[in-house]
Formats: sequence, C-alpha cells, structure tokens
Amino acid sequence: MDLKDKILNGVKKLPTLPTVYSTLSEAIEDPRASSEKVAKVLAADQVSAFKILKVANSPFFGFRGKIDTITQAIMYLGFTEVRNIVFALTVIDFFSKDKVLANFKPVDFWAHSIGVGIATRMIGSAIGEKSVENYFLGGVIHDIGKLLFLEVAHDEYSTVLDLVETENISIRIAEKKILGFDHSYAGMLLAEKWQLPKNLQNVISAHHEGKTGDITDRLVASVHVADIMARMLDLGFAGDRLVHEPDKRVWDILNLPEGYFTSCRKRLIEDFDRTIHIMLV
Amino acid sequence: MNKTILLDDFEEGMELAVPLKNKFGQVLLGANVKLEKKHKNLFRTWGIETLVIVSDDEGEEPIDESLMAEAETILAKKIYWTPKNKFEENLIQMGMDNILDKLR
Repeated sequence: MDLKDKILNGVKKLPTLPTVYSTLSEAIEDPRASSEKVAKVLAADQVSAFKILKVANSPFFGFRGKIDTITQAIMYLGFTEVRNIVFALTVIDFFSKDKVLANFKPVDFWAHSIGVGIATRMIGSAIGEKSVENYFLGGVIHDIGKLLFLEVAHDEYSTVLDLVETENISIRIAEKKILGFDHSYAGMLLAEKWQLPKNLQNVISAHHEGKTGDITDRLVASVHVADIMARMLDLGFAGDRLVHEPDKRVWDILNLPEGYFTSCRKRLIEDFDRTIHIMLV
Repeated sequence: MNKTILLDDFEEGMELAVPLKNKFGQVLLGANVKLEKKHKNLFRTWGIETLVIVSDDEGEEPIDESLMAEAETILAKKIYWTPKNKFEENLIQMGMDNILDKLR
C-alpha cells in the first residue's frame, strides 16, 4: 500500500464529527429554527456551552463580556457564527493533542491556526466584507491537512519535519518531497469527508496560492494574507518558521487600506493572547 | 507625518490627514477635520474600519543602529523575498516593529 492509499484509508477510518455539531446544523437548517431551540441543543452540553460563551465574548467579535447566554450569542453573532465557533472547538478537540513530533506540537499548531482565524476576520472587517461569519473558521481550519498527516502518517511526517529543520525549507515543500503531496490536498480529503461548504473547501485547497478560479474569492485571499501575518508575528507554530511570499494578485482582490498591517499589529497580538487561552485550555 | 489607525483606537481631537472615503470612493469627511466623540459611532455606522490621521510619531526616539541591525538579521532568516508594493512593504514593517518591540 503506497502512502497515498494509507492516507486515503486513514481518512475513511476517521470518525465523523461529534453529534453535537450535526444536531446543531440540523436545528439551524430547519426553516422554523428559533434561537431558543438552537440554544437548547447547545445547552445540553454545559462544558461546551460555557466555552462557546467565552469564545463569543472574545475581543475580535466586538462584544467584550456582553454575552451571558447562548440565546444572546445567537442574537448578537447569528446562527452561522455560533455554529462555526462550535465547529472550530469540535475540530480542535477532535484531534489528539498528545501526538507531538520533534518541535511540532498540536497545541502550537492550533495557536497558529487561531491566530490566522483572528487575522482573517480582522481583514474581513477591514475590507468591508458583509458576511464575515466564515472568516474566523476559515483561518482556523486552513491547515487541517497537517493534523491528518500527524494522525494517520505519524512516522512519515516525522521525516517531513526533520527535512524542514535540516534544509530550512517550508513544510509544504518538505511534504511534497517526502509524501508526494502537501497538506492542502490532505485537508481537502478531510473537508470532503466532513462535507464542508465549498468556500471552506476552497480555503483549505487554495490558501497557499491565495486565489481560486474565482478571482473575487476574498475569503481565500484573506486567509492567504492572514497566514503570512501570523507567521510574521510568530503566532503559534505552523511547522516551519518561514514567511512565504504573498501572491501579488491578493492585493487587488483585497484592496486593504494603506498602512493596515502596522496599524493592526498590537490589536492582533492582544486578541490572539486572550483567545488562545480561551480556546486551548 | 500620517498614520493609519484602527477605528477602535479612535481618540477625540485626532485630525484626519486625508479625506475619509467610503468603499465607493465618495468623500464622507474632508481632510484636516478634528474628530469629535460623535464621529466614532458615525464611522461605525458607515462601516469605516481604519482612519488616516495626522501624527507626531516622528518625535519618537530614533532606533539604535545595532538594534536595527539585529532585527534585520532575525527578519532575514524568515523572509526570502523582497517587497513588490506598498502593502508588502507595510507587511514587512509590521514584522520589523514586532521584532524591535521584543528586543527593546
């Protein structure tokens, strides 16, 4: 069995996401859904409900400490954003945090992903995106393929990380050299299994290029730039310490205000420090 | 000297350095307007996220040359490309500011 088959089999064997997420999705998709009904689904698990409230009160959502109940969270943030918070927390819990490889620790990986999520949402707001609901989640799950490798091809991924260290190359190049394909491809396998929406699949498969066939895909371009910001500021650890070159086309897609990055740096770091303590504890 | 700030960092008395425009390029407020408290909520309603204001930051202490050289060395280990436009220059400046903050 070659490595690709091993990964494909690994994906098949991975369990589906916990029922709380599917129950929640069904409740939200019901055209007669009420915030009370959805809140009831979430309140069934007190620990999750508590965590959701803490995340909903994260500074980057803009409702610092004002949200006391799940019903309020739904009212302020909307069904989709609350579902996305649940999804982000579910995925973080889904993968083992104990599978440490050399200097690559899942906790640092998630810190990087959360940093990218926060930066993506900040960019979404800065460019005047009306529907920023998927921006945080898109950033959080963009590198999910790396965890799939860690889960189902542990030994081979150890070789990948060794190569990153010895040759000082990006993890993506090392993955291609050792495994034959990179985490964008692996992540897509998982995204298809979990039937994620198309825009999130695009993020997972195209965040390195910063664009899909659709040049107006501002979510993909935002994640592409947010990943660079998180690497530049050392928010968590993505598997290598290099900051990749931005694709020149993202600047036309995003049209960010002049001086944007230096103006938002301190806010991004503050929001990151607060949020990782909420989401990773 | 002009400086871009986030709306959250708005302070009464700041002065707009350039006209404030919406995403369609329409001027909402002219340059040199002194900002008042009421403007903050108004800007939020208009969907404004950043402002370019007049700043006297150039009065800050100059950065020590050796510190700057150390920061450049650290940054050079992470970045193998040169900026192609003002966005990328600002992105690199963000990284530089961050390293300098850590070194100080």
